[in-house]
Amino acid sequence: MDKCEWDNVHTHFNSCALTGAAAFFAGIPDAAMVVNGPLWCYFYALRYLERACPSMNHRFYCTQPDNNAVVYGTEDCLLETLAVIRENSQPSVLLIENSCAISLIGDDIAGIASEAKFFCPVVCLDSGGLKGSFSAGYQAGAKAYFTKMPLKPRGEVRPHTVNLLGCTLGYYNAASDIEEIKRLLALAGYQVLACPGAGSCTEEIAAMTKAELNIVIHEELGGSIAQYLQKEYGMPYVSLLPPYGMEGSMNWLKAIGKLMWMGDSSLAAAQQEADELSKRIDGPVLDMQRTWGDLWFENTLIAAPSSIALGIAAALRLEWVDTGALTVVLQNGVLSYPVSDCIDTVLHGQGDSLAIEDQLAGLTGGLLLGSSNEKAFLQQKAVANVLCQNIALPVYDEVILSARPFMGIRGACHMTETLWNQYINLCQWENK
Amino acid sequence: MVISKKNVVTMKRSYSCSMPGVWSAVAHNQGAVVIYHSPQACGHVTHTMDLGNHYRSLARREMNFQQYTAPLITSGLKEEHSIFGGTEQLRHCIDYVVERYKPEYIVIASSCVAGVIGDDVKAVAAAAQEMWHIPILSVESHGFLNEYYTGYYQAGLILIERFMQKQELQKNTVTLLGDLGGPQGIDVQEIKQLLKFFDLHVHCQFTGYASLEEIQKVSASSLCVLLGGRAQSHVGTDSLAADLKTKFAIPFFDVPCPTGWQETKNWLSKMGRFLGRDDEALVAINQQEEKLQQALLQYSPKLRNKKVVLCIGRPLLYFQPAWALELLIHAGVNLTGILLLKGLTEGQQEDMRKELKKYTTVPIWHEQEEVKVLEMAELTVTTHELSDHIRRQLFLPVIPPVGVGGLIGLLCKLARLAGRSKQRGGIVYG
Repeated sequence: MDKCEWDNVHTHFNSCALTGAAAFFAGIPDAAMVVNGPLWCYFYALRYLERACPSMNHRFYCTQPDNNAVVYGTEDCLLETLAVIRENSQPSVLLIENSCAISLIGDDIAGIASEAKFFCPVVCLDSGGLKGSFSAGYQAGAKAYFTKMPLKPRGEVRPHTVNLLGCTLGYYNAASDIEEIKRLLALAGYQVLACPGAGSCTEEIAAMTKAELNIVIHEELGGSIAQYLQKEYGMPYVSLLPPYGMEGSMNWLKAIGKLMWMGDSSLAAAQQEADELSKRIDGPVLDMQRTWGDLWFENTLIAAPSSIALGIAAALRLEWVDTGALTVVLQNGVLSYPVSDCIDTVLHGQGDSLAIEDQLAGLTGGLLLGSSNEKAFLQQKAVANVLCQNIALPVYDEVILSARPFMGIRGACHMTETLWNQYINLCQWENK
Repeated sequence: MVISKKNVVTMKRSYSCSMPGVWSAVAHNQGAVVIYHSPQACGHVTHTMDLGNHYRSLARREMNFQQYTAPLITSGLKEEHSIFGGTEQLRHCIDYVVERYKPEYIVIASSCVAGVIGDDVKAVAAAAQEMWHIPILSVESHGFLNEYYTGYYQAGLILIERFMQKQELQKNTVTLLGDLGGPQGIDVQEIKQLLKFFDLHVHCQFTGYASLEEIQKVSASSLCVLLGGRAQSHVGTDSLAADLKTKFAIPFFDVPCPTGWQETKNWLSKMGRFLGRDDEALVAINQQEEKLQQALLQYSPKLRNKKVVLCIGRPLLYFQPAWALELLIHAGVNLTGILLLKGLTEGQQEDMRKELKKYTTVPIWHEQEEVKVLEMAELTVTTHELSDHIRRQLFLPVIPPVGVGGLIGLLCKLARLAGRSKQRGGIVYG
């Protein structure tokens, strides 16, 4: 996987650490966040996250420093903002994150916050683009949270309980995927105690040490958190590719079952559901196959954050379609898992723009699982007859309003349905 | 009682950044490459902005697929550069860009980080230019420390200084100054239609849609016409026009882009006087008036006497209410009141009240004083999305649409909204 440091950003998609840190705290319903930086950076982060997390509209603030603040500091505007928060809300924890330029001026944010005698713990962080991208910000935000908000001592664990790490509403369709994962785990007899950064409040997170195991869903976000929790609290963890496909989901549950010393019987309910669903979808899919032919694509390109791209690639090749070459673009440029044999080429989403453009240009009649970013390129270059399905942000041309996950057993059904319907639609338009 | 669907942010300062302004100034200039001397994320933010524009153009069927888009590269400043400086990083970046992209010229925009750490971007650009023998232009924009239009203007000025030379005048040719959605956009098409009445032909749009060859056409123009030219955009385009007049004696039509009927009429009258073509102006005015009257015949019956409330949450710097009020007058609705939303500071409220009183005598309330009037309204025209219980909202665009065509577009949407079931409510974006 090559990487060019100075690449054309038009094939890239990522956001900055400011957004990543905000994303972690946005996923804690009783947290509030302050950007100590310009409105431009604030609005970008807000726009990125508000679609998946509407409540953050009322929990996300900006100090709006002016040019003088770069010289004289941001104390005044920060204190003003803290006063507004004190008047309007009662968060259980507050994040104050500095944008790039503000982080260089050396304000003692923790000191200012302490001077304000804020009523809840305040987490202070330098978190602009200088620190890195979304995943760097998420991890830094999470670590800062756990450092400031110690968890309860582990003591005796509750059997058959787990936590989910590395989840974020900053990924596309994340809420549905997380619900499906929880549902699958419940089918297999587990209870999810906490999902920090994706829906669990501070009280739930504090009690997460009681879980038997931490499951990392997205390694690029949760890996370092898992290591930290293991070191600080002795919590074991496992990091697996997220569950995609029927078999993929069952294998995921089996791997967890082995670590949790659960017998095969624990998988019975999930297996039964998978079997029944498979039987139910077989008939209609075979009908469509007889009329429209097979889901065959000469070339397939998947572009998404690495955990999603690598996870979905396996399900795609092994369960959903037949394809010639399969190329995976790691949108965040982070290779956090071994690469399966089913993948022919892996490209760096933050540095391989030439190769990515070549792949997209050659995708006529092929399959794209990616985002509106790759689709825009196909439109600009008039690459015809490509079956496209969004699996990652940014998304400008689709809306999902119901619970239609990509992951898990229900996700497998949804993806099969979507791929077939899109394929049939494409065949009809081709004929016109 | 909170009526806004989203949190209304009180904007005490500008919310823009100068680097996207620099980008916009050259984004579709054949042969250009843009480098941000910044962390990588700044490039992603601009690309997100660009991607949004792509899909908006697609949705409005205004897409030009043949349009060149300049590569955008970030130098990739990291934490260590804040200590040791980022000029070496920039220098290597420029070398790589020249070899890989073979640009006709490069424009470098500096970020707030570069400004704070004190990198001498100008010197790096000058040295690189000497080495590579291609124009490498530096815009000292410094990110959020300046505004979008500052970046746009400075980039435009640099293009003028570096590339433009005096050309022989071409009669009846116009350069449009500004963006407004580009040559394919509906607003630029509207302006072109108006100029045709005077036998004027647009041969260039500057700064962001001109190759080096087309940039030369600017100084051959008989006239420059501003796109935008009000509020914040006035700062940029007006300054560019003044500079072109100083350097090349190109007259510029110093009237902001018209919004609504009255401004269009004034714009046409003034253009007629400016060119000494009053007869053509009269023909244009009559034609535009007829166009408006036909639209009113179609839409007014659906809107007549409907009770409407106007909700304003943008400060005067970003929203001039005259065009919105004119829209409501033409629609024939019954404006029962104006509500100033809570995001406005006291000073901003005061300024807005003074401005509104120039045009209307309807009651003006603050959101916290009076919301009952909203419950009685049949339609709400608003600058911010309001809660769902407030029925049938027309969201006013941040950039008002141009000309009579733009006014008719909004009337059409308002009429459709009025035809919607009262139970359904919802919002239509203007």
